[in-house]
Amino acid sequence: MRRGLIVAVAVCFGSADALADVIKLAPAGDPTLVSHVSVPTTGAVIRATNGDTEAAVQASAAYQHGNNGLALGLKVTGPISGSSSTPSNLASLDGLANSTTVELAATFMHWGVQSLFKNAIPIKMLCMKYLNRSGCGRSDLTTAEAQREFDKLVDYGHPFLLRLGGRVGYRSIDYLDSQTLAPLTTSGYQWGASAGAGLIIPSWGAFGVVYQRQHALTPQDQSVVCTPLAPVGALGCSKNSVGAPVTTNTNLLTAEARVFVGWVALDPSVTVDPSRRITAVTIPFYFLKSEAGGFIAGVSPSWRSDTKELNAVMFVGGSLSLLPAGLGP
Amino acid sequence: MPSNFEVAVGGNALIRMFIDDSPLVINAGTASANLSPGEYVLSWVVLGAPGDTYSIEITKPATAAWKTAVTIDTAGKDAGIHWVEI
Repeated sequence: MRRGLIVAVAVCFGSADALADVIKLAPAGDPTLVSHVSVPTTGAVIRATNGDTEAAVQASAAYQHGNNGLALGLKVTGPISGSSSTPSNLASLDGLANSTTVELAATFMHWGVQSLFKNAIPIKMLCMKYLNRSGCGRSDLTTAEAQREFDKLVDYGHPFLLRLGGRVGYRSIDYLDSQTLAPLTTSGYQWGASAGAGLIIPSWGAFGVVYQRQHALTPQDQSVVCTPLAPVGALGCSKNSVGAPVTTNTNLLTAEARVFVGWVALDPSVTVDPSRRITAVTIPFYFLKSEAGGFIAGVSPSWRSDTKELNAVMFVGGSLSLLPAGLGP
Repeated sequence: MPSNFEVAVGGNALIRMFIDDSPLVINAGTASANLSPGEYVLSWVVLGAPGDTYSIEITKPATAAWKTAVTIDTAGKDAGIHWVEI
């Protein structure tokens, strides 16, 4: 089993005042910028292993009208060290991880919720019963019994979101010709498209599913190639891809949950490549909070079934929120 | 016609507010309405992560001034009502 330590640093920033306001009021929903079922938020992240370092920067804008919201995100992701000809050490099934890609994503969110007006009198009676005043909030009630009674009078709704994303990149791969062992380079465009849906469940967290289609330029498996060194019979050996790269079309299915358990948070996801029967699991675990109260740091172990590769990501940055940016006050 | 009822909203949770049965549109942290004299119910529903915060403050009219500030607990939700006399 291969183990590595990835250190990730995420930094959230806002640009225009309006966007900064949005970010302030509804903090980043995905500090690691990898979720396909969260609303795009503005931020940056670096993920690194011993062999590879990957960076992502995303700008976003969000709009709200009534119960509906729309967020747009433009993200640039790419390797900033490591060879583009070798498979990424990052334990994901992202076939485009070895090239710089640009992704445009749009997320629509709807939260339909009713006024408490129709239950104003029962709520008033409940407030009088427990607090001896005519108005109150759930948080004012100090007993579980009172809060249960209160919740029976309130419909919190179930916000849901739909996300569509498109991604394109360009990759160059160095390889050796399979007949002559001459060094060659092939370049080409790669692309990916994703569609996801998520549901927010009050008192529990959130759940989402994503389908991704990726068209990638993939190098052949690496081999150790030894060639004679002049003038005597010594050999020089190196690890190279032998044979021209191939284009692959991959379908990926991901299920992701966001669970708040007391004062910690989990954001596990499972991605499956059905045709190759490969599974990748990532479990971001948030346990550090900012002064403002949001989850900002933690550790994220990840594992994939084919390589048995286990990595651990440490990250700090924008807050993890139950609810994505752009739909706050 | 200028509004005679204004509410300032802050925090980082998702919030919906109503005055009686009508939604209050929150724009840049402020919601407003023009109300006839009488008694109204200000209500709100909030979702967020534990530790998220929200605040609601009636800034207009001065006679109805009122404020609440809440940190969301592990339930991840909150709601409430406040009676307003215009």
